[in-house]
Amino acid sequence: MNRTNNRSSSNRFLKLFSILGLLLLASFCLSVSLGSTLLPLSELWKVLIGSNEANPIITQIVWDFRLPRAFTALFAGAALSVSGLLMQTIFRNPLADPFVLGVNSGASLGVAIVLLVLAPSGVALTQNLELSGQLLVVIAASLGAAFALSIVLSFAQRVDVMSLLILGLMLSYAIGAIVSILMFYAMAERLQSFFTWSFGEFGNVTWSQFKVFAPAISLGLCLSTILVKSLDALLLGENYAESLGIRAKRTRFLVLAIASILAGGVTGFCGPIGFLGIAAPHLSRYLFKTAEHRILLPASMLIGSLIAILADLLAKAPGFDSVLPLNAITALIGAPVIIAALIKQRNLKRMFG
Amino acid sequence: MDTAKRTPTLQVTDVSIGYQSKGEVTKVVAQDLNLVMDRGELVCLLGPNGAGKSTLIRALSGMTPPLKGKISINGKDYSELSPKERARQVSIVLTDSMSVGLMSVYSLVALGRHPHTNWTGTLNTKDHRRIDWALEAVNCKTLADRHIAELSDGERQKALIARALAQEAPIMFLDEPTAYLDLPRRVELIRILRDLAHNENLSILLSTHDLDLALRSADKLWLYNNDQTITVGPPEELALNGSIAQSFASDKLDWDTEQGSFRMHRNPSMWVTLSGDGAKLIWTQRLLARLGYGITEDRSKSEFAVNVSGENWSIIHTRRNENFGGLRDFISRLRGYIDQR
Repeated sequence: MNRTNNRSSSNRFLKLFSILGLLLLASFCLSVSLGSTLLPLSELWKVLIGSNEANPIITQIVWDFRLPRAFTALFAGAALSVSGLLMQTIFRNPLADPFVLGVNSGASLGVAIVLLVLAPSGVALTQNLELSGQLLVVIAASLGAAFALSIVLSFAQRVDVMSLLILGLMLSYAIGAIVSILMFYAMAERLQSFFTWSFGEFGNVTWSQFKVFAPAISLGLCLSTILVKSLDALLLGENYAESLGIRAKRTRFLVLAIASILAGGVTGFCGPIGFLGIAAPHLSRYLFKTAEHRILLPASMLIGSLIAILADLLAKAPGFDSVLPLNAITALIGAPVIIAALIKQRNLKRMFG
Repeated sequence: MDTAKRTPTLQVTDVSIGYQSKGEVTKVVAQDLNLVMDRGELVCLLGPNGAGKSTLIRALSGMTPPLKGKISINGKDYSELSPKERARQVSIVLTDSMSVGLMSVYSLVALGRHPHTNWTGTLNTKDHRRIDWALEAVNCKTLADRHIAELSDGERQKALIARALAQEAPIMFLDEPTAYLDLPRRVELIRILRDLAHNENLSILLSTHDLDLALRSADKLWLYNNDQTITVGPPEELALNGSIAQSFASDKLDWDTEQGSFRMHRNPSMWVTLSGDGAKLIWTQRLLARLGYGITEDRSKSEFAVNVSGENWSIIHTRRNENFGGLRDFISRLRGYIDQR
């Protein structure tokens, strides 16, 4: 009875995965072709196969702007979504997201120090962030994230999960307070550039930065796949996981480290991008109706990437001159998803655990 | 088989358990424990609420190490086993809350195969067979596709036992498995566990404060005493030598060795003689005890005689008889006599 059920559900999984894959491919192409100028697909094709007929301007737009941006969204979406999934499993809490441990406040502190404090004392930063300034922001954000992360991880093996969650929240508040103080004393123009960073943006990652960004994210994603079995066991709580032969505390440390690298990496390069990390894992649970991580993990990656690319597409506001803040778009997509899941299941806790 | 008989499956030597923080012992729950559990044995860890049953289970299953002493399994020191080796020796059923959504009973039981599967957790035919067997063993075959969140307390408890069984460990510890169950479910669960211990040659330890059930089903009792020690023996021995009375003692309760339970009623205020047969006799005994009558053979001591043979309930006084067609009238008359006192 169950064997046949297994087969029918793996058929369903396969179908869902292929649909999601196709959707992702389509939205990726769309994202490359749509922007402040619309590129027809035929032109795109010429550029991609390196045809001689390709318009050099279009070639430059595609290679230097559109492709890195789309790829960044692809990786960032997967990373945030997977780190959200890891956090929700570790904390057995449906509202946990990649940032509960203060990773994004740490990053914003780093960026605030660079943009609000150091900028006057000789670090050249225009309001629009030149390339060197941009790199500095990335480094500052990563260091800030690493700082918050190291504090939390130093406690990770000593206290229980609930205390850890509270610790992360308090850390976020404390760091947020420091950032507010910095903002309070900062000049208006500098505040503007800080705000711009805090809105989130996939378009700032250049190919040379991508060479750092992509391997870091890929490493995190690969490592997380090794943990699927332990994550399944951890759904029952750490005591049961231990009894199944899993070193719960070590696994917890590892999971938090991976989740933080993923979330910290994205925040460093793209700014703090909210909601994606909560919404994508819920959406994958909702679609796949399973608690098994070997299904949920790839599903979350696909759905996270899909949401990120679609959100970026909306943020670019194709056909209009202006852009929208990415963070606002992800929240506008993410919040209804969670509310819908909540209404549909009547009890999110029950759906997740 | 024979060697397994000779070395006890679980051996606890000079163990103290309790709590410690920062290396300092803050509370000792039990000390100088020397316990042995053999294969094919159902052991009930019995003690009043708060005696430290869970603490012992936690120590035995390796969640919190003992303060001192040695726990060994099949002759090997527990602390030297790797988590995976331990998982193949010991399975547990805890009282931890289980609110995992979207997980079917089958997947839950499948988690029990973790110590036997590779890093992806892929199940092979043998794993599936073991899972099916475990579900069958606890009469849960029909629940396989249900979600855990939808189960009743009794069903969830059985599913958790199936999960532990799937782990294929010779030892199983259960912490208060009957806690939230009604009487029929409790009896069913204990019967399942006893059959598993005897037929599958497992060592099963369950903690409970359900004295009656433990006395009826356990091969051996580990009884918490008031002085932080544990007395070991077959239930009958501990009942007869007064250990149980001592352990559970309080001034409001007294132990009835003949009934094997604690008396629920105070000293009788009226004595009667009773005659009759069958189930009716037994239930009338209970009724009389409940109302506050004592039953005696001594006619000179008794106020009246009660006869419950045949269709009627009758109260026989020296001069007259009262016959009752219905039990309710009989009860209200008996109650009337007591109230007159």
